[in-house]
Amino acid sequence: MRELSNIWRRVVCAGGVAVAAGLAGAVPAKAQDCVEQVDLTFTFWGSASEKNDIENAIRTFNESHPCITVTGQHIPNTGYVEKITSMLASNTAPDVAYLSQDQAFGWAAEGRLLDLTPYLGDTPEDTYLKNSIYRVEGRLMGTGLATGVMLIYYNKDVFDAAGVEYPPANAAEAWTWDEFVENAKLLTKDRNGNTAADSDFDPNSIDTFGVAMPAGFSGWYPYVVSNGGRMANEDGTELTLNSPEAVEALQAYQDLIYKHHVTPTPTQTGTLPAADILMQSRKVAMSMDGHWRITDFNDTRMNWGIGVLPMFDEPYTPLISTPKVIFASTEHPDEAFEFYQYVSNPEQVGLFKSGLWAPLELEYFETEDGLAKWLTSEDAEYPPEAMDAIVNYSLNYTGEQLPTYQLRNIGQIMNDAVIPAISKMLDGTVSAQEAMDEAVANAAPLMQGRW
Amino acid sequence: MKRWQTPLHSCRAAGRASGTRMTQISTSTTLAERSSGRSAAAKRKLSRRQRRELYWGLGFVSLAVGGFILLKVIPIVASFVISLTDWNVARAPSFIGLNNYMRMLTADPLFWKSLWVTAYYSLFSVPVSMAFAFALAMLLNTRIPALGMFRTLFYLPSIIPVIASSILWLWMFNPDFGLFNAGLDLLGLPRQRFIYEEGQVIPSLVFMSMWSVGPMMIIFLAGLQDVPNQLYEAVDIDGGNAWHKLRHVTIPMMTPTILFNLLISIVAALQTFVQAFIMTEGGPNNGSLFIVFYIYRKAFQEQQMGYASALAWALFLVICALSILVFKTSNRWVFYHGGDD
Repeated sequence: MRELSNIWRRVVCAGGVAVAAGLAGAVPAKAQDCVEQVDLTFTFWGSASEKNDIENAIRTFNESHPCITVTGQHIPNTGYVEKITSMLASNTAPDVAYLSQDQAFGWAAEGRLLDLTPYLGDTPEDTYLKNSIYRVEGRLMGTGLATGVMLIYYNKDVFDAAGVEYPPANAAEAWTWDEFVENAKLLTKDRNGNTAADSDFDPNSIDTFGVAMPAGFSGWYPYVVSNGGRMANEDGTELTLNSPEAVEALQAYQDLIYKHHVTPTPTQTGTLPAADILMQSRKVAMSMDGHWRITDFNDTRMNWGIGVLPMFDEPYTPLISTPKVIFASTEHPDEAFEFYQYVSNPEQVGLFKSGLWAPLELEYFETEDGLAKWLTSEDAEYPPEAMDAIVNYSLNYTGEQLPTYQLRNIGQIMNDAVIPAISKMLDGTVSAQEAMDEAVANAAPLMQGRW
Repeated sequence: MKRWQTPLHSCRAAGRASGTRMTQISTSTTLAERSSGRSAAAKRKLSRRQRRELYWGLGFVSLAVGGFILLKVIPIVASFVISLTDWNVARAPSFIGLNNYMRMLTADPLFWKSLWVTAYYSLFSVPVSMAFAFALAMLLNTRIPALGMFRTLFYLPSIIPVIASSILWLWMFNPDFGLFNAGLDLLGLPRQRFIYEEGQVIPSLVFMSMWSVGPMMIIFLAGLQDVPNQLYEAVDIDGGNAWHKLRHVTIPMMTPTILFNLLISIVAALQTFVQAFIMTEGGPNNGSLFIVFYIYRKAFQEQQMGYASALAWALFLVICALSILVFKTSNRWVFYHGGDD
């Protein structure tokens, strides 16, 4: 239905544009045939190149939909939440927007975001990656913007020089944690050329680290899940990061830094350049990072590849997806939804081919035609391992939805309880058990259940 | 510039004017000058010209007053009302009385932590940066070659946007290849982790606060140039040395300037935000959770507008209390030369 009306509108309007353009040249290229001229605002964040691609998408949308004019408003990441909050408070919310999970769910629960059930149906899970669908108290808040999984990036030349096999791209063959540590040790070298596996290795003068790990949630949580742990109990009333499974995984994570010396300390990581630069200059051999970094790695001249994360009990990677919403205050929900879909469509937005985003809908993962629209298209910029490490991984190993998309009050739980504890743990001042006991205690008064 | 000029003038005015004259100053300067000395009864009968001047004066002032009411008074009152509510922006605010304040005082350890962090920082950064600015001003008030260049050089860091200088300091504090640790290496001293360790983050930021003392230094410099030369000559004649000049002339004559700089830097220190926002994100382990940063986090990351407003009011009361304390004690140590002229 939607497709049909869309096509109809395009034909009519395009005709109008052609006539108008032909007659008057400089006349604004908006057709007179529209029943109503619809103006929409769309707010988004992102780097300069991301902004560029989104603005291109907006332009092509406006050209192909002469009756709708979308005005894109790029807001830098750092000020985004403040800006959107004040827009909402002053009743000037945009029509379509990216939204951080900390805000999105609360606002959806208050009815400030449009319930998309009439558009996406009751079971969007049939056609979308299920973890990219967001529900709040029975309402369908919508989908993510695009998806991305956590991966291991590696410099093939460093691996070849150390004689270590590349990290597997197929999750079924994922390294166990112990294999991962052993290989990371072989890749870690001090200034005298000894590896972390040698007895006279000097941990105070490390030249190449085996693996760089992000200090944030997406860096450590996958291993908690892989080991059978969870962030919170079923009803979301209690933090369970001090369970034996979670603590074992987190202790192993801390040990990478202080016991095995294969990972830089958070201080070092925080002040070092980004992973792609580090890896190019051979300061690290592997780096755990999100799918979206492919664009950055493409800009380097090194010989790199991607693999899946190491595992404890079972292979797991989180599916990360920024909520994309339509505000309930929009006067044009149909047109807003039209754009809502357009901006996540791999055929319209270049970011899918360039490696920043993976799509939301299953057809883009499961069918050859779908894949040809991004990953296997001629101008796509994905490494050969992507079929396993992205497609297969996203479809089969992303488990349940991340608790950050489900727990109420997640912003405060993270800020007040989890992040300080994790940062203490990664500083090496306390063990994983002590840190997590503290986190659980501090989180106790903040837990408010699930959406 | 404006931020420090206005209070300076009102400081001086407050010092000179006795109670009743303050009201005149606040209406219109020309009018105040004209009508000074006349009785209150005479004031009621204004000539046409005086009346016209009054209207013009009020007209000009109304822009400033209007702006002040619109952009300051109304938001301040609004924030107090909001502080009595539970408001997450998405939902209409619901009135909860003093619950936010109760929660702050009894159930929020991070409030006390942020208060402690802010106090700890202020306690050290205020005296350290003031002493440093004073010393610099003294040096730049001597007759040395290329004086202009030195004055420019020491003021220069204050021109750099605070974001840029924060990022610069981030690099200097870098534990692995930062300037400071390289210096410590050269001296054979152990490396430090500076802003990356809970115990060192505040001392590091205090150290950093010395970098941007430019405006304070300029005010001191202006004050120093106001010190009458004959007083120094008198010390010379009495056989005093440089220390006597500093102790018995410079410092007493500078006390009004010191008072002003003290107030401004206390307020600025209590409102420290950018360092936490850009450099540390309040970490490590909330070790640099300045109260303004905490307010920001509550308001804009966690959408607890009511609670954030209550926190802002708590900070306001602390600043008020400290300012009153400084003012009340100032008559014991501030010396206004010229007395009540």
